[in-house]
Amino acid sequence: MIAPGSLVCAAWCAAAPDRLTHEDWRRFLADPNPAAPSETPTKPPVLSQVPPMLRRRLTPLSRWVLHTWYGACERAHIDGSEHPLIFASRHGEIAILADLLDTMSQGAPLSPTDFCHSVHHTPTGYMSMAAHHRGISRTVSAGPQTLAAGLLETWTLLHTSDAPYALLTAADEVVPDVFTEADAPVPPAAPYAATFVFQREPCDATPGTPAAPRLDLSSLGRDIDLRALLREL
Amino acid sequence: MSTLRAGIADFGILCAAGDDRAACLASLQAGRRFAPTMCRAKTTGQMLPVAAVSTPLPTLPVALASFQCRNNAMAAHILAQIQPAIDQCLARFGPARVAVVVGSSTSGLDETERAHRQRQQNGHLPPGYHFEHQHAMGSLASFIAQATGALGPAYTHSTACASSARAMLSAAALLHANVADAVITGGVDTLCDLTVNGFHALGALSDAPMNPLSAHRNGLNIGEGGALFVLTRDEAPLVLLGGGESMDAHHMSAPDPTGLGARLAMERALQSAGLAASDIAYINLHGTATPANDAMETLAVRDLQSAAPISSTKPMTGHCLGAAGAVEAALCCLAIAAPKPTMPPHIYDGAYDPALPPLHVVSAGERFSGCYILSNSFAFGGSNCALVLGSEVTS
Repeated sequence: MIAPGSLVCAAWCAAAPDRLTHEDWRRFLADPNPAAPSETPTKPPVLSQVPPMLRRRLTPLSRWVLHTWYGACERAHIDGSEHPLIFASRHGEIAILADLLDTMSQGAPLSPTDFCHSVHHTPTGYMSMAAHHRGISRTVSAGPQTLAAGLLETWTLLHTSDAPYALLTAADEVVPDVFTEADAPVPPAAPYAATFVFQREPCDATPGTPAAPRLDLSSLGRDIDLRALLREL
Repeated sequence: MSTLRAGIADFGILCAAGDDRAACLASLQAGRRFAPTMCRAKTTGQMLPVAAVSTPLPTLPVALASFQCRNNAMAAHILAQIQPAIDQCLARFGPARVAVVVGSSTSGLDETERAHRQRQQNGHLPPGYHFEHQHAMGSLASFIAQATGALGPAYTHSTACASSARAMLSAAALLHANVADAVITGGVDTLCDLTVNGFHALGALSDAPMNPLSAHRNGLNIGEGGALFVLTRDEAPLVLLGGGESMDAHHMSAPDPTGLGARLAMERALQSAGLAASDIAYINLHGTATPANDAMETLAVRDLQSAAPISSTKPMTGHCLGAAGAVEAALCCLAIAAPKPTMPPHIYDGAYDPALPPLHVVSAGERFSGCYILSNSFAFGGSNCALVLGSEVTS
């Protein structure tokens, strides 16, 4: 069990190197044996919504996160800056951290910007700056149970506040091989991000449109991964 | 009633000010600066004072050996102080109803730095290195859950220097949402090369004992340690009444100079606790002694229209980064629950910066004039959090 209740998913948006559109994800979720992610490095999304001055500073992880955050807000027809955001990430800015460790071991000066960017919750700082968000932001991590921790934090926030919506973003980069031995890789195999717009109760559906799916958190295990979660929706 | 009110059944602490509650209270009441350990910056060679924990730390039990790192060993030291309260909760509520929600910014990064150096030398990570159980941010929560036998949800918050303050808000919310009946919360952070050299690269570290609010302030001293609390829905002499948070929407490393984000966090904290600014008897500042923090934080306190006395306890503990919110909440609890409760004194050179708005700075021996405390934590990414604590048996 993740939480003693349910969440209504008004919309979601996910992105990974081989899957940038909703149709790509629908195909991936319908496929009983999806192909392994491509080994080819793919550039993170461009993000035309973010002013160029700010866009240049974004970390790769922040780009994946912001791409799905804007996408989910658009699909749900909401202004994301008004709602709590929950970022669930197992490794945070792990690629930048690897670069900093290399720099330190060479005795070279650390870049102050890279150091600031190495904190786990960097993407939430950029979400705040890009959307002028001055509200609630949480960043949680729990190894293989990170997605479940994000779902629980989202559910709890919605049940202890007046917020009508809360946005959960799960995202991770590939762990650079300096941290792990080749025989013990740590997920994920490719970078990804996914943002969910959650509500406690569904809004009155427009006649003729399908009702937003309800996610029963009491029936889900704490080890749930992104694909299993999306298949529930 | 506040939807975040939680009783503090017990708490433990470890930092440069002391290795348990009694030692920390003695340092606090004496207004004792931490005894500095000198640390050489890797690139500039500058000697920088840091607030290291000098207490020998426990070796973890064999079954948890893969978690062995300084961060988890400090957690084990603190857990030993509150073991009876934890055992009581496990017996009373059952392990599945006891959660672990903690904060950290470093986790076991010092262990990763050692492993990385060794890999550079001989091509292999050391045999004892365990990325998931030592380095990963979730490791602290996972270790505490396994060490105590708590089987409820276990996760780590990581929003840099506001991590453990947010974890405590999150823990209180789990109680009110009836996900758990007791939560082990707080945070632990460890000194390591990256934080010392990173903050040095930012120009944020002082090469002398830090001087918050002073005209001569020139940065912070990094510390380490942690504090862990057992929260329940039961009333207790010490309570977490609520908390508030905000984001600056301004800059990744510099705070909004107007103090707006800081003020929003404090206002939301008061609102959540059902209190007015005039109810607050003491404000524990983030007070890092960087020119930018102290300037914006004093503006925020002025704009909150609070006349409450203020102090920064960081000259006694160093800035414990991700653990700062929990360590400072514990110091506030110690101060107000002491037999003769006096406010944590503000330790500096006495040269209050005339460019800052005039505020009431706590002097040694000053008594509390009320029972509610506000404690601030601000972080990179403009990520702010303020907690409200109270001792409703003290007048």
